[in-house]
Amino acid sequence: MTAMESSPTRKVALKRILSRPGPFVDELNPEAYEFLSNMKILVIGAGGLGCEILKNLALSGFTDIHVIDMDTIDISNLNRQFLFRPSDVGKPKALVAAEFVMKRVKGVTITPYYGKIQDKDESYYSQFGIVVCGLDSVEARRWINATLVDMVDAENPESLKPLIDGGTEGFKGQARVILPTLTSCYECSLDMLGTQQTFPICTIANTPRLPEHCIEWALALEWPKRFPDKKIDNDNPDHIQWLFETAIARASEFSIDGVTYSLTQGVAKNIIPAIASTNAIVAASCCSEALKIATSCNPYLNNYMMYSGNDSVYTYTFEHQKKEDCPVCGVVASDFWIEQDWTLGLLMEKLTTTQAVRIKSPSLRTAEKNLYLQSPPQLEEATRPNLSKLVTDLVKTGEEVSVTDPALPFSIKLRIRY
Amino acid sequence: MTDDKKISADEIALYDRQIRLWGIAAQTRMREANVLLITAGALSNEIAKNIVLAGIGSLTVLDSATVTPPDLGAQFFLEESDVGKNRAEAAVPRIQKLNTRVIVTADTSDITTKDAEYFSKFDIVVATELAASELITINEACRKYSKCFYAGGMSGLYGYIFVDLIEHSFSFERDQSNSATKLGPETSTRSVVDVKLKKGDGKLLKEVVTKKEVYKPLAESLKSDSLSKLRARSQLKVSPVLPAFRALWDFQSTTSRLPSPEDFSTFEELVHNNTRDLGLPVGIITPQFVKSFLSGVGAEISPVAAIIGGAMAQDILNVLGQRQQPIQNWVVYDCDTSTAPIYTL
Repeated sequence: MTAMESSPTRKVALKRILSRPGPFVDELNPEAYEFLSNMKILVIGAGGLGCEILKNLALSGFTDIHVIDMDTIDISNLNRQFLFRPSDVGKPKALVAAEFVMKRVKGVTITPYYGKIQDKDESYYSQFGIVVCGLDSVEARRWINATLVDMVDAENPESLKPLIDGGTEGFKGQARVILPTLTSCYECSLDMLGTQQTFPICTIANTPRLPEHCIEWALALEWPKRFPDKKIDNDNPDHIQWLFETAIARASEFSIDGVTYSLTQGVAKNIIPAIASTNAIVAASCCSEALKIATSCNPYLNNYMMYSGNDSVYTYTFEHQKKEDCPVCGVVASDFWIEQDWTLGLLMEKLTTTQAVRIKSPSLRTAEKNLYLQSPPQLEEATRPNLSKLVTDLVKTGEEVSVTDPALPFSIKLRIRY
Repeated sequence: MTDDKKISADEIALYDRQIRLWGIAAQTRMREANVLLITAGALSNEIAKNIVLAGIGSLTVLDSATVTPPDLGAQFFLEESDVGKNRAEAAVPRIQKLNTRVIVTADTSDITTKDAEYFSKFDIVVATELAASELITINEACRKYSKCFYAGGMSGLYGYIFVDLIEHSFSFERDQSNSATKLGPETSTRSVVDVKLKKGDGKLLKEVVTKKEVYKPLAESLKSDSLSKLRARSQLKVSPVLPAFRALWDFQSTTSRLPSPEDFSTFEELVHNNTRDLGLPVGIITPQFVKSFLSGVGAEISPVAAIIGGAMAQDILNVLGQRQQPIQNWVVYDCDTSTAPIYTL
């Protein structure tokens, strides 16, 4: 029995919306609903956004949904990830979420995968009509964005998979629609991201003022000193307790208030506050776009919507421009200006901190030679001496340098200029 | 604070991610709140989910209707086997499972049978999918007992929220800027009532600012002429969704039913009348919009419910937490344009 036959009037509202006359639906379009229920849609992430996305898609006529998530359920998820119960703690999110929604909404199939998005390749991603992301890391977003852009074959329109990306943090969030190679992609907007909160090392070492400085001191300076062979595990409550006690002792030395166990955990694990309503709003915004794109019942978001609940309700929608020199979807290499006295080592440091590049462990090559490779060890050793050489001795002005990083499935092409 | 009022270690672990946002004091206030949700439709399902997950004290879901198959379209707390049961009774056990610490109860009465005193038991009354006359009656009862009132509704791809908190104060902390914050009015509804200074980090002091918002009841707000005072260019940007819901209420009060696409001419005229009553140019209403609005009457679309429900739920939590600027006082949601403007009327 198909979804339609088993509950003929469950979808009456959707069908009415999809068949209403208007500029985007010239004649009554009964096929729009069929198209919707035959489309394969992928949801990346089964957490705060993912749970909401799965619920909305299942109730919006999609019947063939896949979901990927590499995490297991934690007690702190339960204030918003409503498909999970206390008895589910420790189980894989993708599996539990899929089972819950399938039980609740008849006629919908959800195929879960408990693992990383990087485990799958183009042949997997090619089967979907739309990809909706509810991820919690910049790296993962860059990866899926680059993968989908790479898949686009101008000869084959079906190879273009719309990517709808949502993100939230506390009271704020955003939803955007990316049409790989046609519109601005995730990499194009990398420079919009804020810098990660880092404290200057001199403040941490010598002149702390905030409780966070004391915790960072315990984390970054004192732990490696006391336990040089042990890596800190921020899920281990004993480690957090040690950090807490060490930080509070330092704080009292400098008469600083505010070091708590909770703050210590927050700094160590880089915890981002999260609530149900922001996730509900952003996920639903993404799903309404998925519905519009899948059925052409309405113009879809062009292309970036920001939501802020900090000061009552505020949304701002704008078209983010595609970058010509975007390393992922652009066609030209981008210029990177340097000073003549920079060593290769300094250039690499600059690359890791430049907003628009954000590479953690870069390897650099020109067409003619390897400048510095992070691996394998023999090549790292062989190219290490280059780090102290001047860039001007290694690269001609205007020459293209290719920068790669193991976390990213693409290379950034920079034209070095001086 | 007595022991059973204090938040437990288990709750702190559960609510960790939200306590980091609004603090333990706000969480403790939320935990004592008693909320009434009227009409167990898709919008209520979403509001219930968000406020129960957040850990309010207790929730009553009131609805006298029975579950029909279209309810399964966008109401996540219902399953096929619920058809024929009372809507509130069917949804409540599943809402309860979201958070066993919240007391969730179903009331199968018809809302029109409740007297004013019924509403005095609640801290916040949320009335969804009701006609204007019912909303006004409930709003007046809430005012009588100094309770907060929310109204909300959807029509296909469109929705609205109305808020009446009578008088609401909230406090927040911020770094002191170049000029100290002054006491006194900021807008026609909001004023700064208190500023305290406290130690910040380094040289900057921190201000603890308390503001107060004053609200109008629905009956009075419906007569507001604020929009007529806008400049012509701003008037053209006002969302047609605002007069459309007013027209829906007018249609309901004269015919005692909801309009359907066959009622296009009558309904279009009502939308135009309400646009003019708001002091706005009729040009903001197109026939395509009216058709689109009409085709959605009575249709519940999941993402639309989630967005409006999310915004309403968060405002309810903000009011209980007393740290955030609340909605003052109308929000309309337009899924065609993905916009949610706020109007103070």
